[in-house]
Amino acid sequence: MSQRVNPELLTEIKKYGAADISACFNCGNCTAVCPMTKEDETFPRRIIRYAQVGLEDRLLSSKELWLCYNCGECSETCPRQAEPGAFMAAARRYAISKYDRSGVAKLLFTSPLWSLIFLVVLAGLIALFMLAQPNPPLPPSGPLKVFELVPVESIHYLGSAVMGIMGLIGLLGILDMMKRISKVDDKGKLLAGGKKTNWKEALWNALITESLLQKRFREDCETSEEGVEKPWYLKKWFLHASTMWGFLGLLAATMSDFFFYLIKYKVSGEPVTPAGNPAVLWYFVHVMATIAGFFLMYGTSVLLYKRWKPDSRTYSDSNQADWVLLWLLWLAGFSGLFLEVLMDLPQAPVWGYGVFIFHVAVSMEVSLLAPLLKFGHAFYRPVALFFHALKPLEE
Amino acid sequence: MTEKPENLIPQEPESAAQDEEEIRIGVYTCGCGGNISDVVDIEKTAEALSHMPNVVVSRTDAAMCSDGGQSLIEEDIKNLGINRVVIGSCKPALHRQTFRGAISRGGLNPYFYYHVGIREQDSWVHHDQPDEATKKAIRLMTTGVVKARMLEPLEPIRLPAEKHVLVIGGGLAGLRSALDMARHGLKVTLIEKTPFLGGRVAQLETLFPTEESARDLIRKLVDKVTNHPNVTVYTYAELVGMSGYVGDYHVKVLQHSRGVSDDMADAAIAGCTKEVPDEFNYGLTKRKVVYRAYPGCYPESPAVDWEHYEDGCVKVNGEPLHLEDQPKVWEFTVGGIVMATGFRPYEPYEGEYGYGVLPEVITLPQLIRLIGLTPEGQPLKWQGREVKNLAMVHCVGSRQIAGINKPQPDGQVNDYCSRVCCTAILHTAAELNKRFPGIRVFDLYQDIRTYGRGHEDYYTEASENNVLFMRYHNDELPEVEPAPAGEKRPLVVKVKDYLTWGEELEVPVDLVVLAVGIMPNPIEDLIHMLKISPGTDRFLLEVHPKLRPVETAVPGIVLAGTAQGPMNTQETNAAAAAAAVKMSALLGAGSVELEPFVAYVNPDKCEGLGECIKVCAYEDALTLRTVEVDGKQVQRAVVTPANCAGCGACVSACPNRAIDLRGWTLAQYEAMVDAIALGDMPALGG
Repeated sequence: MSQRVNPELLTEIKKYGAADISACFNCGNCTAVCPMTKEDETFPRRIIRYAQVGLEDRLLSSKELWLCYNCGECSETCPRQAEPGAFMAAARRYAISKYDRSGVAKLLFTSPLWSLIFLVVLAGLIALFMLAQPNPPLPPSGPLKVFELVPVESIHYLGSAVMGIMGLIGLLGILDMMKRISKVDDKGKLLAGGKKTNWKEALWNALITESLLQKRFREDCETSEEGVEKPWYLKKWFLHASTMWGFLGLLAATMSDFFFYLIKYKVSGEPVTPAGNPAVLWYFVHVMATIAGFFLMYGTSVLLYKRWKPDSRTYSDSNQADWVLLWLLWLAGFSGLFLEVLMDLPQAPVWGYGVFIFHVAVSMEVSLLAPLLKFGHAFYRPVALFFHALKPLEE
Repeated sequence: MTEKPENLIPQEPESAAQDEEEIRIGVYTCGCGGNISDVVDIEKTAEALSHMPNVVVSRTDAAMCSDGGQSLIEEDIKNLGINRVVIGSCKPALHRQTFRGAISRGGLNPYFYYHVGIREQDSWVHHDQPDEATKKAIRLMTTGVVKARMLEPLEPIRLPAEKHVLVIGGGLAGLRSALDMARHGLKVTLIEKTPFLGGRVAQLETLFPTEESARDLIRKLVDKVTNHPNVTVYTYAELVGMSGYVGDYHVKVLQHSRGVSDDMADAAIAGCTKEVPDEFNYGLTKRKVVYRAYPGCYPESPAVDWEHYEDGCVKVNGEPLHLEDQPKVWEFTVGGIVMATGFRPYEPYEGEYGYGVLPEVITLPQLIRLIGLTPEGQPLKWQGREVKNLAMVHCVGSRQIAGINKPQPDGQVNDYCSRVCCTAILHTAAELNKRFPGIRVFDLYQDIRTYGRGHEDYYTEASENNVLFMRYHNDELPEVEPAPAGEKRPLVVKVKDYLTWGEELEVPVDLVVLAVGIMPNPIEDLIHMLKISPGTDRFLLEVHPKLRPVETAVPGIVLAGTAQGPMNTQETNAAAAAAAVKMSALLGAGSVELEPFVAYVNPDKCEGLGECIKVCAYEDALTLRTVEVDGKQVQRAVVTPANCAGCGACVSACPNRAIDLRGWTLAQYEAMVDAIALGDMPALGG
């Protein structure tokens, strides 16, 4: 079956970064040096070629796109300085915005001005929603009583709505991606084919080994600069893991808190206490959240610094997508930790309530938009890894 | 090897070594920097030969051709009274002149020298058998010593030479070589078959890699050539007859008349009613039968295209002009001839990638003309439609494979690379990008060969701008088809693209451009007349691609430019300059020297049978003439040395052994064969 050539695809992808990719002359050095590539799964050249020729179906159904951890080896050795690593990142952004039918992801990836306006307005709307609740007058002094400002129930309803919308967007994206894969890829057909497959093992590999533990990122993609081994706390995978586990920890803490709240007040039938007092320090959810917050702050701070002063190809060629996600996470983490300090003060300043609103708004926003931000890779990579590992079982 | 070196010498019959007490032979075995000495034991060889009768000295050197090696020979001639030199080294063609020079400096006739090729004939072909190779070297050099004993002093043949050159072809190569030779002091007559100078280069727009205007370059060159006092130019003229030999070629040139006088030139053009396809624009436009090839062409006077002229097709003031071709014939003598007959673009057969069937398929020369005809600032249009994208196909009529590509009318395929098309395509793509921003080019290639200085920059520029490359295999050629009804673009190119893992891709395009290869102009009549040879690729053949790259096998006829093979303008200039220098060196002294190895007749033995003449392949080399012997009129064979190639066919044909070759006599051959045959003795392990 012959395919129509569409050279405009590359022009389109260039809007997502990777301005230098036109210099590529298909030599394949990038594929040769890539630690992730295997005989039957070759990239980045394959993905670059799909983009050059305009085989959009192949590009959007390619698992290889998501196998890349952007270690930068390919960009380091490219004889034409075509920056294949940066291209892979741009192609992932393009894919995320294609899996999203709303056009929001495209806006967030390609227009710095409009995405800034969008983010500020959305955060503002969330803040307004919270402030629009029937609020009692705030106590003039004393500790912060944030749940008197915004009822804890409102926050919980809003949070549930945000998580629901996020899950829906993510699920739609994943379904779109899976549809594309099954249209083109043999492995995609395996699921429908009724053949016995190793799907359990593939799922474990995709979700646990690679997504949560990041085995290959840790083992294969750590490039040492001129033979000098970096300390573990500065390694790429650790910075990424610190950010990821920090975020997951905070998410888990929030969910647990909500869970316990449900048990405590709904199951026991006790009335909701409007006090909103800070949880006691030893409360284990609190401990978990604090630790996770520190991890998130460490990861995002170092990554922000590295993107500001890149010491590796991984962090050069930063796109607005990279900055937006890091800053959102950093602001959410920083405002959260700051809020904790403020809430422990016997005499808190009134602007502490502002910090509270800010923290909730940013956290809600980053959660709501997760599948449309660079964060989207957390949705799509496991799917790709799953299909990547999926194979029919020998009869 | 266990034999003693002296035992390796064939034992000659006693008689052969008699009466030669005055002959003093020096034998020199060269190591050729390991090329020989890594295989052949040259010390042993030298030692073995030193035991031969008459051999006074037998030496070795790592490189006999070096200054040190040469002075070794010179000193031996002076100090040891060596009067015959035998050198075993590379093939004679490489260093014959070198060693003749050394021997002359030593004060000896340079033809007292015999050269044995123990590199090509021995060490290079027997590198796995060093012992046998050493024996072979000794045996080959033994024949050299045997021949050396029988050498005679010879003098090169000197013929007076006309310091006048005929240049055939008024394109870049012809103009460049004519100018160079004129500047070297030779008289030059340049003839051009068409009515105007400039050739194929005048049909180009800009030239890579300098981006200068092609017609400006031609114009400057034409000005210099036509203004040079040593040059005569005949346009609309062709060579119709030639006889003689180097230094003394009698040529006959026929020149068509231009048909209209200058004072009524413009009126005649205006009054011409017949039009024919314009070959200058490769048929994209039409021109009149009375025409100028292009604005600013030389000569300025228009010419009548006699092939298409019909009486009555030109009217001035309503009255038909009756024009007539009254050709002039020029006869003159030249010392040499420069073949600058140039090339023609390959003409695709009907249906090749849709050519001739689908109107949107054209050739690269046509596209270049189309760009040239498009006014600045206007979009590129083909048949009224704007061209937004186009596919260019490499290697059309080049690198063809028998059995895959359809053969030419002569049954052959063009299996050579035309060399210029790759850079020409990319250069044109760059030009398109500059002139028509946004235009997109699909480049379908087998290999990209942008080999020249600065050529690769066009590749870089192309891939970064407007060109998408696709690679096909030479046994899976792309196909051009009309697009299905309702599509935006008229053509679809299908290509199995090996940059996309053999994926079948379809490219919708407005225009398909075939980068046609280079073929020599059809000059069979000239080839026949001048007895020069084309190669299997039909281009004119040089004697040796490295050692004698611009000379033909016919003395005094040299090659310039694309008559010899595909070249770009830079290479054409270099080749033309080389041809000019060769010709200047040949004729500059007013005489030419030829090798003395030609046939000679022993008048006492010749009976005028004419057997020799029957087998002679060279015109006017051997003739029967009536001479008076003892008062009787008899027929005798006479050799014209300048025309004799020294092939020896006559020697074998003469029943009386009355004819022989100087420097390669039958007696010498017999002695050498005997020496080889004697090698079949126990001592040589035969």
